[in-house]
Amino acid sequence: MVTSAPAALLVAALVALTACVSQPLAEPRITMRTGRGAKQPVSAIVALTPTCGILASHMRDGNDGAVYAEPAKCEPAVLDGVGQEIRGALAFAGYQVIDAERVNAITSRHHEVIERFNAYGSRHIEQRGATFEDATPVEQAELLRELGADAVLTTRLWIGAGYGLSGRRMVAVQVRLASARDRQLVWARRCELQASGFESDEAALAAAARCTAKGMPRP
Amino acid sequence: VRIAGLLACLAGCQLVPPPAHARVLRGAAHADPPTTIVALPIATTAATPEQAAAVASATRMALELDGYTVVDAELINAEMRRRTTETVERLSEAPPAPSERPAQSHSDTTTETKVSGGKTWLDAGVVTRTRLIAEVGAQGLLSTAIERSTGAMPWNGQVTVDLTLMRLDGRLVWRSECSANFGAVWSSWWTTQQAIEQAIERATHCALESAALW
Repeated sequence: MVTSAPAALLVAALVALTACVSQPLAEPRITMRTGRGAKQPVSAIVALTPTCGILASHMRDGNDGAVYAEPAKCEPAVLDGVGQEIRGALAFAGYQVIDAERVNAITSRHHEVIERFNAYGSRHIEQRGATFEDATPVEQAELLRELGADAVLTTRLWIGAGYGLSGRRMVAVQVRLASARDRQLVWARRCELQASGFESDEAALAAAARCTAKGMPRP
Repeated sequence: VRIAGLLACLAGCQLVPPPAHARVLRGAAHADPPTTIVALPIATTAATPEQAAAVASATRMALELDGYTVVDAELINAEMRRRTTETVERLSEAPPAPSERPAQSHSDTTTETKVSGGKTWLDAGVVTRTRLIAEVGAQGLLSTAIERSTGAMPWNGQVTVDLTLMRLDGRLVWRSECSANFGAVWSSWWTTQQAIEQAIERATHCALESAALW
């Protein structure tokens, strides 16, 4: 049995700490809105590469024994993963989804060299060109017409500041469909959820992307 | 006792920060807001590029969800860029000739993409920027600034986020400025950084809420 005051305080602190860490995460919040462009029929969509911003730094141990904050980066692989999740959900909902990264603005040049050295070999492929996202606004409008696209999809990712010892933070993924003709909002959908401190940014963003993708409006 | 006291304080976790202070100004064009706006790069010397990108992301998401069409200035190309993608595949066995059956080979592939040439909004002059604004069909510009002042100690101070929406003719639609204080529990790189980030988040949300957007 604990009798001394310091020990009692220590136990109380540990109990409080445990309670704090085990506090349930906030329920995901989904927001959806439609705009003026919703009256136009949308079938073919050009999906742009997601963009993101992360506020929460990561903790890093320094060589001097101190703890430092290291800015978190939006890794291209994570953006790719979220983009795939959203595009997949839209395709399943019935849209014709065109990946902007795969739309050539100009005919690209492909140069491939295969070398063989006995049991070993290498293949060197060089592709030079320009995609939809490299083009100017006028050229992009022309490409949208050529593709017969009705709308453009933008995806934005956000991770807020870490709170508490565990570093809980809010994570949001938002998709917005805008008319290709006049950029008017067709619909926008956002899922915001709380990520635990033990969850990586990648896992948190993937969860938010799944939450956003679930229940996408049909064409 | 001191350790126990410190743990008890830490266990509080939900240290309630002081409320943020907002100032909102409605301009001459408040009743005639633009529908498509170009969001200019964040102006700051106080925030890191990552923090600026996070504020930009939060701001643009809120505006888009509110019905605005937001075009990121840094993604507008004034001239077409070129990209070169190099893929190098190394095989432990020589690749088979097209007529042969594929042999079991172990490959190691690396892909690297480099973007070169072209000019973006950031490189463009005033005349080109005016042309680009017309090309994207924007009627307004959103400027965002982040400022930070340090208090008596390096680990406390104030972060201010300032959002300004103007029509192209220079008429103000609204301006929302919000300041949030930060104060770390104790002085260390990590806690100070976390406190600053929390203040940036609070100030951003407060500025957006104050403009009746968030």
